[in-house]
Amino acid sequence: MKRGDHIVFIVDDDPNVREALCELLESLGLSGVAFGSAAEYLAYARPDLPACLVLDVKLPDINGLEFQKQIAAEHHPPIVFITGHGDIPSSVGAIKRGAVDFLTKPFSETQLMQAIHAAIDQDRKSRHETAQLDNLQQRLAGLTPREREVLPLVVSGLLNKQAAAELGISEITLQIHRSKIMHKMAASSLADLVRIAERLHIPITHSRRAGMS
Amino acid sequence: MKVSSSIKRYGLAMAICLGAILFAWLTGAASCLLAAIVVACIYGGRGPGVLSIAICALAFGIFLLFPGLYFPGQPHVWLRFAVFLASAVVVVLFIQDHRNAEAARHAEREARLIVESMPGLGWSTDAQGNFKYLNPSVFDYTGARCEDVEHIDGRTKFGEEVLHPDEVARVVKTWLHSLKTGEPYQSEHRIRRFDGVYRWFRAAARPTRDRTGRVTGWYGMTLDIDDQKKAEEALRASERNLKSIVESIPGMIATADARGVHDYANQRLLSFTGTKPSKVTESSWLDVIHPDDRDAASTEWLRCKRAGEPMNILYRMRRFDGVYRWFQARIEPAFDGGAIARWYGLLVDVDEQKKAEEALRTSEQQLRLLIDTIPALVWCATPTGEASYLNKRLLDYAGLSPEEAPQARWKLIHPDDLQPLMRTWAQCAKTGQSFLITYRLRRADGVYRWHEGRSEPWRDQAGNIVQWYGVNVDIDERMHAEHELRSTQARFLRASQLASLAELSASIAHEVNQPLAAVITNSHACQRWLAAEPPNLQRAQLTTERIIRDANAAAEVVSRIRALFKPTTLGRSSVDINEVIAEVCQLLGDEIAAKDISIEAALEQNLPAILVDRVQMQQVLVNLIRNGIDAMNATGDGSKSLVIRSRRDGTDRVRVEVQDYGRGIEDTERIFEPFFTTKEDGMGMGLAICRSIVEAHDGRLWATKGDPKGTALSFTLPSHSAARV
Repeated sequence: MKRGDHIVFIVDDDPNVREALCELLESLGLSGVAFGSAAEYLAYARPDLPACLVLDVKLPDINGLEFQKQIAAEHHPPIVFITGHGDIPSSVGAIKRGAVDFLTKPFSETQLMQAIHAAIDQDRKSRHETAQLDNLQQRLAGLTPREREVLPLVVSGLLNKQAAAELGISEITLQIHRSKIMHKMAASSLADLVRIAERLHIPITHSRRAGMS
Repeated sequence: MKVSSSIKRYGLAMAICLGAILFAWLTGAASCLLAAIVVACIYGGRGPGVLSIAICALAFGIFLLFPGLYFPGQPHVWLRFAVFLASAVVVVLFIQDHRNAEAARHAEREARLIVESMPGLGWSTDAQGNFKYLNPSVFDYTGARCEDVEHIDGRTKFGEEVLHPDEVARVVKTWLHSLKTGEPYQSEHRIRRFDGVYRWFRAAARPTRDRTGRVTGWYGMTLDIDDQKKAEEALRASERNLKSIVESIPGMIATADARGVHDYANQRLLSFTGTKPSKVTESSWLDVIHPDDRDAASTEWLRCKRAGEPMNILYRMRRFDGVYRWFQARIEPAFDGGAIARWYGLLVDVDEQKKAEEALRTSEQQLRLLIDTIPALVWCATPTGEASYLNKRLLDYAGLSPEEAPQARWKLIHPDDLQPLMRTWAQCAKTGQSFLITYRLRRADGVYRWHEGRSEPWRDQAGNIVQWYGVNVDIDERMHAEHELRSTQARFLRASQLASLAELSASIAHEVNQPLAAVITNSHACQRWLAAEPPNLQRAQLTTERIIRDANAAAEVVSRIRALFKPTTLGRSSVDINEVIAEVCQLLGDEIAAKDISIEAALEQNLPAILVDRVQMQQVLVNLIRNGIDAMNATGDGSKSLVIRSRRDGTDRVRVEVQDYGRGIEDTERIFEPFFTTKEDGMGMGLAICRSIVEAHDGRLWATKGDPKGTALSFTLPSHSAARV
């Protein structure tokens, strides 16, 4: 992990703890920003980087678990909870709602680092997936309306002949559409196109068997 | 011809005699002397008759003595015969005439007698109206004498004099009118009596006429009608009076015949209905009655008419301007020989009264509605405590009918509350103080609900209590809420005052872990700086300083926590340990009840007071009792009873023992060690803290195994007098 390709947000009301955490991150070569409250964190213009949120349960303005619920709908980095006094029900709740870990103070460096790394990786992966999906969405948007009609038929596994009949066009025309789709969607093979369609949640509307009967 | 003067009469007799003597001398026939005597007797009366006889006898004697004395000497025989015959005829004629006159006089005497004996003033006048005759009653009455009448000039003046001055003109006018026309005269007027008193008379006179119809005179009779007149006058006055009563009475009066047809209505009634007096008989009394009341009035009228009973009815009657007003009509029949002769009705305007009554009724209804609708139970009671009124809501609440209410009142009260209520009531009834008590009142379904009853006495002017007015408000929910609140408060109290150990431990953990987390994190960072190539000593130094700082902060927290439990002699007071036990039992009442545990308190009375921090003592007792409860709760079998004993221990110590019948403990000493616990959620601090508190009070806390099972925790404390101050 290199400096500048990630960021760790720390929210804790205890200045000493914030200071210590920043120190530790720095000693490990990680970039971190610390906040004394949830409001300060929300007010911060976060850089577009894979990130992690180290969140204390006891905050001056809001309970950390409550804050987790509030920001669940928005895009926020994965959360690592830290708490002075942890109880089982709240830790289970936090994990259920997607927290990466729930650490009870005092925690070891290893515990914290594992959690932070896991969180950043998770964020990075999800960012990558989101980016890919965006790319595919853009490609899909580049299809003509007719091509968008052809695509589900092709990925459903219909023969060219069947698909052409379905749309009431000639097989030749269909073949032209199909090759244009393959090109526009940057699919190297039909199998590739099917995978792309799946990621884009394009429904399989027909089956070859049904079409034949 | 009537000759009244005697001189004239004698003169007349002598003249007749002398005439007859002269005639006898001339004719020589003495028989004419007899005729003269007869005439003189008839006209002159007895005296002149005797005188005429004497004169004639003297003359006759002279003629007999001296026969040659006759004038021619010897009168002729035939002449003498003729004289004799003529004299006889004269005598017969005169006697006849005299007899007629005598009969007339007699008749007149008779008539006068009648007239004079008649009970009235009789009189007659001539054709000109001059009095010819006045009967004695006139003189008796007026006191006038005959001469007065005689001497009056023109005669009628007498009549004018005795008339009442106010009536003279009228009477004279009437009289003159009758005189002129010959119409019968009739008049009523007053005439002065001899003593100056005027009395009423009725005068009536008729004229007498001769054969030609000419009026020859008037005969009149004037009758005393004073008494009659006065009676009439009185009657008229009485009538007038009655009429004015009828008209001015503040009511309307009407009469009707037997069939009910109106024949009279007083002015008030007429002007009210706007009926003309002439139309009274045509209008039906039912027409002016309000259509809504008409049927009832008609029915009642028919019934009363049939039964002959008086009628008394209220109805609205239309005024001339169309406005209806309420009237009370009383109609009474008058009987005549068993049959109804007439109906007399009196109508009194009761509109204001009726409206006032209605307003009162409305207001009363509203009040009743209010009393019945307000969400409270309202009642009234007599000074002796009997319910005289219960509002509908109360009756509905208790499911009582109004009849059974007065007796049922005390039965509605919860048996447990009856005694105090009766006491309070008796006290208030005696002193007249207002009444406020909460008690349970049975609802119709048998459920008792809490009520707050307030009552105020109402006194008469003398200050005696006449009635108690009471209101009950259902406070059942409030009572329950208050109960809830009390137990919640108790819980809060326990949490704060008696330091719920779970919360305490959470807070301790947070306080301590915070600096420890900083210490550990800094340590790791420091390690990293030192392990770096090359080692970053500067940063390592910085983190080390921070480690020292944070470690000290942790130590500070720990010492602060220790200070929390540090025994202090401040806030100690002299208390009775039994009181504290009672307080704690009350505080834990809910919890105990919820867990179905019975607490048995065996407290020795008159224990010496101890000098302790009351709250800390509560804390100790709560912990011991809770431990006992928890211990028994864990076994879940057998009798769950907890025994708390207090007694004197030696001369100057007090001993308290809390014994449970739980499963017991193995080691009676380890349980006092911090963090030793047999409970799943325990922290193991309770008994350690308890022991430190007790020891801070120079006391001792220990545990013994129960017999046959369970555990007994006991502590002793020095009494106040023995305590080290």
